[in-house]
Amino acid sequence: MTDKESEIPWSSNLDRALETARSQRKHVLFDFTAAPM
Amino acid sequence: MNENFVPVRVHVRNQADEFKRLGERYGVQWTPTILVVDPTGEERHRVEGFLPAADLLAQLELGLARSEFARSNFAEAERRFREVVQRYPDSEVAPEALYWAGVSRYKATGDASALGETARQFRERYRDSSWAKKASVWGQPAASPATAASPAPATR
Repeated sequence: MTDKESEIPWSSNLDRALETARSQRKHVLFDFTAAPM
Repeated sequence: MNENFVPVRVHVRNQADEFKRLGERYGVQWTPTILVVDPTGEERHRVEGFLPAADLLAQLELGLARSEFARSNFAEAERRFREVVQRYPDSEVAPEALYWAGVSRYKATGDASALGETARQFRERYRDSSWAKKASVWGQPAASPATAASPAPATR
């Protein structure tokens, strides 16, 4: 998605990500992709 | 990016069940689709289709600003919208951010001159954008806050 793609700690667990977002006052960046992984 | 976001990714083939479940929840019908989701799970911004990195980063920052605005955090929204204009002045979203920065200041302060000032800025830059047309009504002498921006400023 960006030049620093490999540095992004992707997960696929939205519920856990929302919990983290709440506790750390962040947003969730949600990527629906078909790109090679 | 990690400073502002918790990143989640689902793949249309490798995680087909999750993709279907979450795609239906957010009405996703194309890839790539990137959402800025607030901590309550509410979608605040959407980018459909590929964008180069700089354009995508501008979109994500616009999304954070829109999220603040949607949650009536108008001073913070203004700060973030202005940051988009400053950091990405040549991006597609810069005129939109300039427009909403003016609205955010008006909503935060109730001072209609923020709208007139925004219209003045649009006479100097982004003149061909649709956002300049939208702001042009604020630059007319007869414009009042009631006609220029229908929602009342928030009182916080």
